Amino acid sequence: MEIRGNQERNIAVEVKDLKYTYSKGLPYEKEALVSVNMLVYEGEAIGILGHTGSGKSTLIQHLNGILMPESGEVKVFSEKINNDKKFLKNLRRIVGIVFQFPEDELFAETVYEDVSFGPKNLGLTKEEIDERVLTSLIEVGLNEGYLNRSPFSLSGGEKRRVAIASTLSMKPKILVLDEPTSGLDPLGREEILKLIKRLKNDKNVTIILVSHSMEDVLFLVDRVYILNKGKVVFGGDTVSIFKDKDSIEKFDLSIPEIFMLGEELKKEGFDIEEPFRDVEVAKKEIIRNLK
Amino acid sequence: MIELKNVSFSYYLPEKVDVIKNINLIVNKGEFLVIIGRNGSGKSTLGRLISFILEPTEGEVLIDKKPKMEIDYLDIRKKIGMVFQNPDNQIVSQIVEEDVAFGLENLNYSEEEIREKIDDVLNEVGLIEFRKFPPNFLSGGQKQKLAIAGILVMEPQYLVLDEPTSLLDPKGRKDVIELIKKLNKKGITIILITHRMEEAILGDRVLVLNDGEIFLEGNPEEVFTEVEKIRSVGLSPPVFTYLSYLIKKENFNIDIKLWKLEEIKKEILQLKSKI
Repeated sequence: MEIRGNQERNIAVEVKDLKYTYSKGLPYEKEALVSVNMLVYEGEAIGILGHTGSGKSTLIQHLNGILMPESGEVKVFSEKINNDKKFLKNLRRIVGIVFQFPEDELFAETVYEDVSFGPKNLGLTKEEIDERVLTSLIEVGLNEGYLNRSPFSLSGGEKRRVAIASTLSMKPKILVLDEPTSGLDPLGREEILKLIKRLKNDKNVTIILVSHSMEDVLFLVDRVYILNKGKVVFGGDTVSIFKDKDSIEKFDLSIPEIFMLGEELKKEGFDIEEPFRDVEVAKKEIIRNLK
Repeated sequence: MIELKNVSFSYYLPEKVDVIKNINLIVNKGEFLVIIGRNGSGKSTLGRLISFILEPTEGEVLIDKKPKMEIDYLDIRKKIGMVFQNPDNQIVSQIVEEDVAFGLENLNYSEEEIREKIDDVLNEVGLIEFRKFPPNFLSGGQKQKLAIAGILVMEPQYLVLDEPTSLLDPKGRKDVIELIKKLNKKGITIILITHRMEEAILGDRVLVLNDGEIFLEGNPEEVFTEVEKIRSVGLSPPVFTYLSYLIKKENFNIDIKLWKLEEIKKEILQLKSKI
Protein backbone atom coordinates (compact mmCIF):
# COMPACT_ATOMS: atom_id res chain seq x y z
CA MET A 1 0.00 0.00 0.00
CA GLU A 2 1.11 3.48 -0.75
CA ILE A 3 1.68 5.73 2.20
CA ARG A 4 2.56 9.26 1.41
CA GLY A 5 4.24 11.67 3.75
CA ASN A 6 3.82 9.40 6.73
CA GLN A 7 7.29 7.96 6.87
CA GLU A 8 8.41 9.88 9.90
CA ARG A 9 5.38 9.24 12.05
CA ASN A 10 5.39 6.71 14.84
CA ILE A 11 3.73 3.42 14.18
CA ALA A 12 0.86 2.99 16.62
CA VAL A 13 -0.28 -0.46 15.61
CA GLU A 14 1.40 -3.09 13.52
CA VAL A 15 -0.37 -6.34 12.68
CA LYS A 16 1.73 -9.01 10.98
CA ASP A 17 0.42 -12.24 9.43
CA LEU A 18 -2.24 -12.45 12.10
CA LYS A 19 -4.17 -15.69 12.15
CA TYR A 20 -6.97 -16.71 14.46
CA THR A 21 -9.29 -19.72 14.49
CA TYR A 22 -12.30 -20.04 16.74
CA SER A 23 -12.90 -23.42 18.42
CA LYS A 24 -9.57 -24.66 17.12
CA GLY A 25 -9.45 -28.45 16.87
CA LEU A 26 -13.19 -28.89 17.24
CA PRO A 27 -15.40 -30.11 14.41
CA TYR A 28 -16.91 -26.66 13.93
CA GLU A 29 -13.67 -24.68 14.03
CA LYS A 30 -13.87 -21.44 12.12
CA GLU A 31 -10.96 -19.58 10.64
CA ALA A 32 -11.85 -15.97 11.39
CA LEU A 33 -8.53 -14.39 10.44
CA VAL A 34 -6.43 -16.10 7.80
CA SER A 35 -3.59 -13.65 7.46
CA VAL A 36 -4.01 -10.02 8.29
CA ASN A 37 -1.39 -7.33 7.84
CA MET A 38 -2.09 -3.79 8.89
CA LEU A 39 -0.19 -0.67 9.82
CA VAL A 40 -1.61 2.30 11.69
CA TYR A 41 0.37 5.48 12.29
CA GLU A 42 0.08 7.57 15.40
CA GLY A 43 -2.51 10.30 15.06
CA GLU A 44 -4.20 9.00 11.94
CA ALA A 45 -7.73 7.68 11.59
CA ILE A 46 -8.21 4.44 9.76
CA GLY A 47 -11.37 2.60 8.82
CA ILE A 48 -11.89 -1.14 8.79
CA LEU A 49 -14.65 -2.18 6.42
CA GLY A 50 -16.07 -5.52 5.44
CA HIS A 51 -19.18 -7.65 5.55
CA THR A 52 -20.63 -9.15 8.67
CA GLY A 53 -18.40 -12.15 9.33
CA SER A 54 -15.35 -10.79 7.53
CA GLY A 55 -13.26 -10.81 10.72
CA LYS A 56 -13.45 -7.16 11.79
CA SER A 57 -14.51 -7.86 15.37
CA THR A 58 -11.97 -10.65 15.76
CA LEU A 59 -9.26 -8.31 14.53
CA ILE A 60 -10.04 -5.48 16.94
CA GLN A 61 -10.20 -7.85 19.88
CA HIS A 62 -6.53 -8.54 19.24
CA LEU A 63 -5.63 -4.88 19.62
CA ASN A 64 -5.87 -4.86 23.40
CA GLY A 65 -5.18 -8.48 24.10
CA ILE A 66 -8.71 -9.79 24.58
CA LEU A 67 -7.71 -12.41 22.01
CA MET A 68 -4.14 -13.62 21.56
CA PRO A 69 -2.82 -14.42 18.07
CA GLU A 70 -2.81 -18.06 17.04
CA SER A 71 0.14 -17.11 14.87
CA GLY A 72 1.60 -13.86 13.68
CA GLU A 73 1.92 -10.84 15.94
CA VAL A 74 0.39 -7.58 17.01
CA LYS A 75 2.55 -4.68 18.13
CA VAL A 76 1.32 -1.54 19.85
CA PHE A 77 3.85 1.29 19.87
CA SER A 78 6.51 -1.27 18.92
CA GLU A 79 5.78 -3.61 21.80
CA LYS A 80 4.60 -7.07 20.97
CA ILE A 81 1.37 -7.99 22.71
CA ASN A 82 1.84 -10.86 25.13
CA ASN A 83 0.06 -12.56 27.96
CA ASP A 84 1.93 -10.87 30.80
CA LYS A 85 -0.58 -9.48 33.30
CA LYS A 86 1.22 -6.22 33.91
CA PHE A 87 1.73 -5.69 30.21
CA LEU A 88 -1.95 -6.24 29.50
CA LYS A 89 -3.02 -3.87 32.23
CA ASN A 90 -0.88 -1.14 30.73
CA LEU A 91 -1.96 -2.04 27.19
CA ARG A 92 -5.59 -1.53 28.10
CA ARG A 93 -4.83 2.00 29.24
CA ILE A 94 -3.25 2.73 25.89
CA VAL A 95 -5.83 1.05 23.69
CA GLY A 96 -9.46 1.84 24.47
CA ILE A 97 -12.11 -0.15 22.66
CA VAL A 98 -15.67 1.07 22.39
CA PHE A 99 -17.67 -1.95 21.32
CA GLN A 100 -20.91 -1.91 19.39
CA PHE A 101 -23.82 -0.74 21.54
CA PRO A 102 -21.47 0.15 24.42
CA GLU A 103 -24.46 1.44 26.39
CA ASP A 104 -25.36 -2.20 27.05
CA GLU A 105 -22.22 -2.37 29.18
CA LEU A 106 -23.27 0.43 31.54
CA PHE A 107 -23.78 -1.14 34.93
CA ALA A 108 -23.57 1.38 37.76
CA GLU A 109 -26.25 3.35 39.55
CA THR A 110 -24.89 6.73 38.54
CA VAL A 111 -23.06 8.17 35.57
CA TYR A 112 -20.20 9.13 37.90
CA GLU A 113 -19.70 5.54 39.07
CA ASP A 114 -19.68 4.26 35.52
CA VAL A 115 -17.21 6.77 34.14
CA SER A 116 -14.93 6.62 37.20
CA PHE A 117 -14.73 2.81 37.22
CA GLY A 118 -11.60 2.67 35.05
CA PRO A 119 -9.62 5.55 36.61
CA LYS A 120 -10.35 4.17 40.10
CA ASN A 121 -8.11 1.22 39.27
CA LEU A 122 -5.21 3.45 38.31
CA GLY A 123 -4.19 4.52 41.79
CA LEU A 124 -5.21 8.15 41.28
CA THR A 125 -6.35 10.55 43.97
CA LYS A 126 -10.03 11.39 44.35
CA GLU A 127 -9.42 14.83 42.84
CA GLU A 128 -7.65 13.35 39.83
CA ILE A 129 -10.44 10.85 39.32
CA ASP A 130 -13.11 13.54 39.55
CA GLU A 131 -11.19 15.70 37.15
CA ARG A 132 -10.95 12.86 34.61
CA VAL A 133 -14.64 12.04 34.92
CA LEU A 134 -15.72 15.60 34.34
CA THR A 135 -13.28 16.18 31.47
CA SER A 136 -14.48 13.02 29.74
CA LEU A 137 -18.12 13.99 30.14
CA ILE A 138 -17.45 17.43 28.72
CA GLU A 139 -15.50 15.91 25.84
CA VAL A 140 -18.56 13.88 24.83
CA GLY A 141 -20.82 16.90 25.10
CA LEU A 142 -22.39 16.22 28.50
CA ASN A 143 -21.92 18.19 31.72
CA GLU A 144 -21.74 17.86 35.50
CA GLY A 145 -25.52 17.79 35.70
CA TYR A 146 -25.30 14.18 34.57
CA LEU A 147 -22.94 12.98 37.30
CA ASN A 148 -25.59 11.72 39.69
CA ARG A 149 -28.14 10.57 37.17
CA SER A 150 -28.88 6.92 36.59
CA PRO A 151 -27.56 5.78 33.17
CA PHE A 152 -30.90 4.05 32.70
CA SER A 153 -32.80 7.33 32.78
CA LEU A 154 -30.85 8.66 29.79
CA SER A 155 -31.79 8.58 26.11
CA GLY A 156 -30.00 6.24 23.71
CA GLY A 157 -27.68 8.97 22.45
CA GLU A 158 -26.80 10.11 25.96
CA LYS A 159 -26.10 6.54 27.10
CA ARG A 160 -23.81 6.06 24.11
CA ARG A 161 -21.90 9.19 25.09
CA VAL A 162 -21.57 8.10 28.71
CA ALA A 163 -20.20 4.77 27.52
CA ILE A 164 -17.65 6.52 25.30
CA ALA A 165 -16.75 8.82 28.21
CA SER A 166 -16.02 5.71 30.31
CA THR A 167 -13.39 4.72 27.78
CA LEU A 168 -12.02 8.27 27.40
CA SER A 169 -11.53 8.55 31.18
CA MET A 170 -8.62 6.12 30.74
CA LYS A 171 -7.03 8.65 28.36
CA PRO A 172 -6.30 6.08 25.64
CA LYS A 173 -3.76 6.95 22.95
CA ILE A 174 -5.50 4.61 20.54
CA LEU A 175 -9.27 4.57 20.37
CA VAL A 176 -10.99 1.70 18.59
CA LEU A 177 -14.68 2.18 17.85
CA ASP A 178 -16.99 -0.52 16.52
CA GLU A 179 -20.01 1.06 14.79
CA PRO A 180 -20.12 4.06 17.12
CA THR A 181 -23.04 5.77 15.39
CA SER A 182 -25.34 2.85 14.67
CA GLY A 183 -28.81 3.41 16.06
CA LEU A 184 -28.21 7.11 16.76
CA ASP A 185 -30.39 9.91 15.43
CA PRO A 186 -28.83 12.22 12.80
CA LEU A 187 -27.70 14.98 15.13
CA GLY A 188 -26.51 12.46 17.72
CA ARG A 189 -24.50 10.88 14.92
CA GLU A 190 -23.03 14.24 13.87
CA GLU A 191 -22.02 14.95 17.47
CA ILE A 192 -20.28 11.60 17.94
CA LEU A 193 -18.41 11.97 14.64
CA LYS A 194 -17.29 15.50 15.49
CA LEU A 195 -16.21 14.31 18.92
CA ILE A 196 -14.03 11.59 17.40
CA LYS A 197 -12.57 14.06 14.93
CA ARG A 198 -11.74 16.46 17.78
CA LEU A 199 -9.95 13.70 19.68
CA LYS A 200 -7.88 13.03 16.61
CA ASN A 201 -7.12 16.63 15.69
CA ASP A 202 -6.70 18.21 19.12
CA LYS A 203 -5.34 15.33 21.18
CA ASN A 204 -3.56 13.30 18.52
CA VAL A 205 -5.54 10.20 19.49
CA THR A 206 -5.14 7.43 16.91
CA ILE A 207 -8.56 6.33 15.67
CA ILE A 208 -9.51 2.90 14.37
CA LEU A 209 -13.09 2.91 13.15
CA VAL A 210 -15.10 -0.17 12.23
CA SER A 211 -18.16 0.91 10.32
CA HIS A 212 -20.80 0.01 7.78
CA SER A 213 -21.62 3.66 7.26
CA MET A 214 -19.83 5.04 4.22
CA GLU A 215 -20.79 8.56 5.30
CA ASP A 216 -19.00 8.07 8.63
CA VAL A 217 -15.94 6.59 6.93
CA LEU A 218 -15.76 9.42 4.42
CA PHE A 219 -16.12 12.09 7.08
CA LEU A 220 -13.66 10.64 9.54
CA VAL A 221 -10.94 8.40 8.25
CA ASP A 222 -7.75 8.97 6.26
CA ARG A 223 -7.18 5.42 5.12
CA VAL A 224 -9.25 2.30 4.75
CA TYR A 225 -8.62 -1.43 5.04
CA ILE A 226 -11.23 -3.76 3.58
CA LEU A 227 -11.47 -7.22 5.12
CA ASN A 228 -12.97 -10.22 3.41
CA LYS A 229 -12.97 -13.75 4.73
CA GLY A 230 -10.22 -13.02 7.23
CA LYS A 231 -7.84 -11.26 4.85
CA VAL A 232 -7.13 -7.67 3.93
CA VAL A 233 -8.27 -7.52 0.32
CA PHE A 234 -7.87 -3.84 -0.28
CA GLY A 235 -6.32 -0.80 1.29
CA GLY A 236 -5.82 2.78 0.35
CA ASP A 237 -6.67 6.34 1.19
CA THR A 238 -10.36 7.00 1.68
CA VAL A 239 -10.93 9.48 -1.10
CA SER A 240 -9.25 7.38 -3.75
CA ILE A 241 -11.31 4.34 -2.77
CA PHE A 242 -14.53 6.26 -3.23
CA LYS A 243 -13.26 7.41 -6.61
CA ASP A 244 -12.58 3.84 -7.68
CA LYS A 245 -15.94 2.58 -8.91
CA ASP A 246 -14.61 -0.93 -9.58
CA SER A 247 -13.57 -1.61 -6.01
CA ILE A 248 -16.72 0.01 -4.69
CA GLU A 249 -18.73 -2.49 -6.69
CA LYS A 250 -16.44 -5.41 -5.99
CA PHE A 251 -16.63 -4.94 -2.23
CA ASP A 252 -20.33 -4.03 -2.08
CA LEU A 253 -19.69 -0.58 -0.72
CA SER A 254 -21.67 2.47 -1.63
CA ILE A 255 -20.52 5.97 -2.50
CA PRO A 256 -22.09 8.71 -0.42
CA GLU A 257 -24.17 10.95 -2.70
CA ILE A 258 -22.60 14.14 -1.40
CA PHE A 259 -19.18 12.86 -2.50
CA MET A 260 -20.55 12.00 -5.95
CA LEU A 261 -21.89 15.54 -6.33
CA GLY A 262 -18.37 16.89 -5.78
CA GLU A 263 -16.94 14.58 -8.42
CA GLU A 264 -19.71 15.48 -10.88
CA LEU A 265 -19.23 19.21 -10.39
CA LYS A 266 -15.50 18.81 -10.87
CA LYS A 267 -16.16 17.16 -14.24
CA GLU A 268 -18.27 20.18 -15.14
CA GLY A 269 -15.32 22.45 -14.56
CA PHE A 270 -15.90 23.51 -10.97
CA ASP A 271 -12.77 24.35 -9.10
CA ILE A 272 -12.97 21.86 -6.23
CA GLU A 273 -10.13 22.08 -3.73
CA GLU A 274 -11.42 19.63 -1.16
CA PRO A 275 -13.38 16.43 -1.80
CA PHE A 276 -16.97 16.60 -0.49
CA ARG A 277 -16.54 14.67 2.75
CA ASP A 278 -19.67 16.17 4.26
CA VAL A 279 -22.33 18.74 3.56
CA GLU A 280 -20.39 21.59 5.18
CA VAL A 281 -17.42 21.11 2.86
CA ALA A 282 -19.80 20.82 -0.10
CA LYS A 283 -21.45 24.10 0.79
CA LYS A 284 -18.14 25.90 1.22
CA GLU A 285 -16.76 24.63 -2.10
CA ILE A 286 -19.95 25.37 -4.05
CA ILE A 287 -20.34 28.88 -2.64
CA ARG A 288 -16.72 29.67 -3.50
CA ASN A 289 -17.43 28.65 -7.09
CA LEU A 290 -20.54 30.80 -7.23
CA LYS A 291 -18.80 33.99 -6.12
CA MET B 1 -57.11 0.38 9.95
CA ILE B 2 -55.32 0.88 13.24
CA GLU B 3 -56.49 3.83 15.27
CA LEU B 4 -54.85 5.41 18.31
CA LYS B 5 -57.27 7.49 20.36
CA ASN B 6 -55.79 9.85 22.97
CA VAL B 7 -53.07 7.33 23.63
CA SER B 8 -50.56 7.94 26.41
CA PHE B 9 -47.93 5.64 27.78
CA SER B 10 -45.85 6.05 30.93
CA TYR B 11 -43.15 4.06 32.65
CA TYR B 12 -42.50 4.14 36.38
CA LEU B 13 -38.78 4.29 37.08
CA PRO B 14 -39.95 4.59 39.92
CA GLU B 15 -40.89 8.21 39.19
CA LYS B 16 -43.39 8.58 36.35
CA VAL B 17 -41.91 9.13 32.87
CA ASP B 18 -44.37 10.03 30.12
CA VAL B 19 -43.10 8.42 26.94
CA ILE B 20 -46.13 8.94 24.72
CA LYS B 21 -48.40 11.90 25.35
CA ASN B 22 -51.96 11.92 24.11
CA ILE B 23 -51.40 10.79 20.54
CA ASN B 24 -54.17 10.52 17.98
CA LEU B 25 -53.22 8.63 14.84
CA ILE B 26 -54.84 6.59 12.11
CA VAL B 27 -52.79 4.05 10.17
CA ASN B 28 -54.65 3.32 6.95
CA LYS B 29 -54.63 -0.05 5.29
CA GLY B 30 -52.03 -0.31 2.55
CA GLU B 31 -50.09 2.82 3.40
CA PHE B 32 -46.35 3.20 3.99
CA LEU B 33 -45.98 5.17 7.18
CA VAL B 34 -42.57 6.26 8.40
CA ILE B 35 -41.89 7.27 12.00
CA ILE B 36 -38.78 9.31 12.76
CA GLY B 37 -37.59 11.08 15.86
CA ARG B 38 -34.47 11.50 17.98
CA ASN B 39 -33.32 8.85 20.44
CA GLY B 40 -35.74 8.85 23.33
CA SER B 41 -38.58 10.54 21.42
CA GLY B 42 -40.86 7.55 21.91
CA LYS B 43 -40.65 5.96 18.42
CA SER B 44 -40.13 2.40 19.56
CA THR B 45 -42.82 2.72 22.20
CA LEU B 46 -45.23 4.06 19.59
CA GLY B 47 -44.36 1.15 17.31
CA ARG B 48 -45.08 -1.29 20.12
CA LEU B 49 -48.39 0.42 20.88
CA ILE B 50 -49.42 0.24 17.21
CA SER B 51 -48.58 -3.45 17.18
CA PHE B 52 -50.43 -4.17 20.44
CA ILE B 53 -47.28 -5.36 22.16
CA LEU B 54 -47.66 -2.60 24.76
CA GLU B 55 -50.95 -1.43 26.19
CA PRO B 56 -51.55 2.29 26.57
CA THR B 57 -51.72 3.66 30.11
CA GLU B 58 -54.43 6.00 28.85
CA GLY B 59 -56.60 6.02 25.74
CA GLU B 60 -57.14 3.09 23.43
CA VAL B 61 -55.82 1.41 20.31
CA LEU B 62 -58.37 -0.01 17.88
CA ILE B 63 -57.87 -2.41 15.01
CA ASP B 64 -60.61 -2.29 12.39
CA LYS B 65 -62.57 -0.17 14.87
CA LYS B 66 -62.46 -2.84 17.56
CA PRO B 67 -60.56 -2.61 20.84
CA LYS B 68 -58.27 -5.42 21.97
CA MET B 69 -60.90 -6.77 24.39
CA GLU B 70 -63.27 -7.59 21.54
CA ILE B 71 -60.81 -9.56 19.42
CA ASP B 72 -59.03 -12.82 19.95
CA TYR B 73 -55.44 -11.82 20.85
CA LEU B 74 -54.04 -14.51 18.57
CA ASP B 75 -55.91 -12.83 15.73
CA ILE B 76 -54.17 -9.54 16.46
CA ARG B 77 -50.80 -11.29 16.48
CA LYS B 78 -51.56 -12.78 13.10
CA LYS B 79 -52.63 -9.44 11.67
CA ILE B 80 -49.75 -7.34 12.97
CA GLY B 81 -46.15 -8.48 12.77
CA MET B 82 -43.16 -6.74 14.26
CA VAL B 83 -39.51 -6.83 13.18
CA PHE B 84 -36.76 -5.49 15.42
CA GLN B 85 -33.34 -3.93 14.95
CA ASN B 86 -31.24 -6.96 15.71
CA PRO B 87 -32.30 -10.09 13.80
CA ASP B 88 -30.26 -12.25 16.18
CA ASN B 89 -32.82 -11.45 18.88
CA GLN B 90 -35.64 -12.67 16.70
CA ILE B 91 -34.20 -15.86 15.24
CA VAL B 92 -34.96 -18.87 17.42
CA SER B 93 -34.07 -22.02 15.48
CA GLN B 94 -30.93 -23.77 14.31
CA ILE B 95 -32.10 -24.18 10.71
CA VAL B 96 -33.46 -21.45 8.43
CA GLU B 97 -36.68 -23.23 7.46
CA GLU B 98 -37.40 -24.30 11.01
CA ASP B 99 -37.14 -20.71 12.09
CA VAL B 100 -39.74 -19.69 9.54
CA ALA B 101 -41.99 -22.54 10.68
CA PHE B 102 -41.83 -21.54 14.34
CA GLY B 103 -44.92 -19.31 14.33
CA LEU B 104 -46.98 -21.72 12.25
CA GLU B 105 -46.29 -24.72 14.41
CA ASN B 106 -48.46 -23.20 17.11
CA LEU B 107 -51.40 -22.67 14.77
CA ASN B 108 -52.75 -26.11 13.92
CA TYR B 109 -51.60 -26.25 10.31
CA SER B 110 -50.92 -29.58 8.65
CA GLU B 111 -47.34 -30.43 7.81
CA GLU B 112 -48.04 -30.01 4.11
CA GLU B 113 -49.54 -26.59 4.58
CA ILE B 114 -46.59 -25.54 6.67
CA ARG B 115 -44.14 -26.77 4.04
CA GLU B 116 -45.94 -24.92 1.29
CA LYS B 117 -46.10 -21.67 3.23
CA ILE B 118 -42.42 -21.85 4.14
CA ASP B 119 -41.42 -22.34 0.52
CA ASP B 120 -43.55 -19.41 -0.59
CA VAL B 121 -42.11 -17.09 2.01
CA LEU B 122 -38.49 -18.13 1.50
CA ASN B 123 -38.95 -17.55 -2.21
CA GLU B 124 -40.47 -14.17 -1.54
CA VAL B 125 -37.52 -12.97 0.57
CA GLY B 126 -34.94 -14.68 -1.64
CA LEU B 127 -33.58 -17.18 0.87
CA ILE B 128 -34.89 -20.44 -0.59
CA GLU B 129 -31.41 -21.72 -1.40
CA PHE B 130 -30.42 -21.35 2.27
CA ARG B 131 -33.39 -23.29 3.67
CA LYS B 132 -31.26 -26.03 5.23
CA PHE B 133 -28.54 -23.69 6.52
CA PRO B 134 -28.02 -22.66 10.13
CA PRO B 135 -28.92 -18.96 10.44
CA ASN B 136 -25.40 -18.04 11.57
CA PHE B 137 -24.18 -18.79 8.05
CA LEU B 138 -26.25 -15.88 6.79
CA SER B 139 -25.08 -12.30 6.39
CA GLY B 140 -26.67 -9.54 8.45
CA GLY B 141 -29.05 -8.58 5.66
CA GLN B 142 -30.03 -12.18 5.05
CA LYS B 143 -30.67 -12.68 8.76
CA GLN B 144 -32.95 -9.67 8.79
CA LYS B 145 -34.80 -11.08 5.79
CA LEU B 146 -35.15 -14.35 7.67
CA ALA B 147 -36.65 -12.47 10.63
CA ILE B 148 -39.09 -10.83 8.21
CA ALA B 149 -39.87 -14.22 6.66
CA GLY B 150 -40.76 -15.57 10.10
CA ILE B 151 -43.36 -12.81 10.34
CA LEU B 152 -44.57 -12.96 6.73
CA VAL B 153 -45.44 -16.62 7.02
CA MET B 154 -48.23 -15.56 9.40
CA GLU B 155 -49.65 -13.48 6.52
CA PRO B 156 -49.86 -10.22 8.44
CA GLN B 157 -51.76 -7.20 7.16
CA TYR B 158 -49.53 -4.82 9.05
CA LEU B 159 -45.78 -4.94 9.41
CA VAL B 160 -44.09 -2.73 12.02
CA LEU B 161 -40.32 -2.51 11.53
CA ASP B 162 -38.20 -0.89 14.23
CA GLU B 163 -34.91 0.24 12.67
CA PRO B 164 -34.56 -2.95 10.65
CA THR B 165 -31.48 -1.77 8.74
CA SER B 166 -29.39 0.02 11.34
CA LEU B 167 -27.07 -2.94 11.94
CA LEU B 168 -26.66 -3.89 8.30
CA ASP B 169 -23.96 -3.23 5.74
CA PRO B 170 -24.85 -1.17 2.64
CA LYS B 171 -25.81 -4.21 0.57
CA GLY B 172 -27.94 -5.71 3.34
CA ARG B 173 -29.63 -2.36 3.87
CA LYS B 174 -30.51 -2.04 0.21
CA ASP B 175 -31.86 -5.60 0.03
CA VAL B 176 -34.06 -5.21 3.09
CA ILE B 177 -35.45 -1.88 1.88
CA GLU B 178 -36.23 -3.38 -1.54
CA LEU B 179 -38.09 -6.20 0.22
CA ILE B 180 -40.10 -3.75 2.34
CA LYS B 181 -41.08 -1.78 -0.77
CA LYS B 182 -42.15 -4.97 -2.51
CA LEU B 183 -44.29 -6.07 0.43
CA ASN B 184 -45.99 -2.69 0.53
CA LYS B 185 -46.78 -2.94 -3.20
CA LYS B 186 -48.42 -6.29 -2.45
CA GLY B 187 -50.75 -4.55 -0.07
CA ILE B 188 -49.10 -5.01 3.31
CA THR B 189 -49.31 -1.89 5.43
CA ILE B 190 -45.83 -0.78 6.45
CA ILE B 191 -44.94 1.15 9.58
CA LEU B 192 -41.20 1.82 9.38
CA ILE B 193 -39.27 3.35 12.26
CA THR B 194 -35.91 4.64 11.06
CA HIS B 195 -33.01 7.01 11.62
CA ARG B 196 -32.01 6.98 8.00
CA MET B 197 -33.51 9.84 6.06
CA GLU B 198 -32.95 8.19 2.69
CA GLU B 199 -35.36 5.51 3.94
CA ALA B 200 -37.79 8.00 5.43
CA ILE B 201 -38.39 9.64 2.04
CA LEU B 202 -39.80 6.34 0.74
CA GLY B 203 -42.92 6.68 2.86
CA ASP B 204 -46.33 7.97 1.76
CA ARG B 205 -46.46 9.78 5.06
CA VAL B 206 -43.82 10.76 7.58
CA LEU B 207 -44.52 11.27 11.26
CA VAL B 208 -41.96 13.21 13.28
CA LEU B 209 -42.12 12.35 16.94
CA ASN B 210 -40.61 14.57 19.60
CA ASP B 211 -40.81 14.14 23.32
CA GLY B 212 -43.72 11.74 22.99
CA GLU B 213 -45.82 14.00 20.78
CA ILE B 214 -46.41 14.29 17.05
CA PHE B 215 -44.24 17.26 16.07
CA LEU B 216 -44.70 17.24 12.29
CA GLU B 217 -46.71 15.14 9.88
CA GLY B 218 -47.00 15.11 6.11
CA ASN B 219 -45.55 13.66 2.95
CA PRO B 220 -41.74 13.50 2.81
CA GLU B 221 -41.46 16.73 0.80
CA GLU B 222 -43.64 18.66 3.24
CA VAL B 223 -41.81 17.38 6.27
CA PHE B 224 -38.19 17.57 5.14
CA THR B 225 -38.32 21.04 3.62
CA GLU B 226 -38.99 22.32 7.16
CA VAL B 227 -35.24 22.20 7.65
CA GLU B 228 -34.99 24.31 10.78
CA LYS B 229 -37.86 22.56 12.51
CA ILE B 230 -36.46 19.17 11.62
CA ARG B 231 -33.01 20.04 12.94
CA SER B 232 -34.47 21.55 16.10
CA VAL B 233 -35.62 18.06 17.12
CA GLY B 234 -32.33 16.22 16.58
CA LEU B 235 -32.96 15.15 13.00
CA SER B 236 -31.59 16.29 9.69
CA PRO B 237 -33.17 16.30 6.23
CA PRO B 238 -31.71 14.26 3.35
CA VAL B 239 -28.28 15.58 2.45
CA PHE B 240 -29.22 17.48 -0.74
CA THR B 241 -32.23 19.11 0.90
CA TYR B 242 -29.94 20.32 3.65
CA LEU B 243 -27.34 21.44 1.11
CA SER B 244 -29.93 23.50 -0.79
CA TYR B 245 -30.98 25.08 2.50
CA LEU B 246 -27.38 26.01 3.32
CA ILE B 247 -26.82 27.51 -0.14
CA LYS B 248 -30.06 29.48 0.03
CA LYS B 249 -29.01 30.87 3.40
CA GLU B 250 -26.01 32.44 1.63
CA ASN B 251 -28.53 34.40 -0.47
CA PHE B 252 -28.55 32.27 -3.60
CA ASN B 253 -31.77 31.58 -5.42
CA ILE B 254 -32.32 27.86 -4.98
CA ASP B 255 -35.43 25.93 -3.93
CA ILE B 256 -35.35 23.83 -0.80
CA LYS B 257 -36.75 20.48 -1.84
CA LEU B 258 -36.04 16.75 -2.07
CA TRP B 259 -33.34 16.94 -4.72
CA LYS B 260 -31.93 14.02 -6.61
CA LEU B 261 -28.23 14.07 -7.49
CA GLU B 262 -28.75 14.89 -11.18
CA GLU B 263 -31.30 17.61 -10.40
CA ILE B 264 -29.27 19.49 -7.84
CA LYS B 265 -26.19 19.26 -10.04
CA LYS B 266 -28.11 20.91 -12.89
CA GLU B 267 -29.47 23.55 -10.55
CA ILE B 268 -26.00 24.40 -9.24
CA LEU B 269 -24.63 24.58 -12.79
CA GLN B 270 -27.43 26.97 -13.66
CA LEU B 271 -26.61 29.16 -10.67
CA LYS B 272 -23.03 29.23 -11.88
CA SER B 273 -24.02 30.18 -15.42
CA LYS B 274 -25.88 33.22 -14.07
CA ILE B 275 -22.81 34.73 -12.46
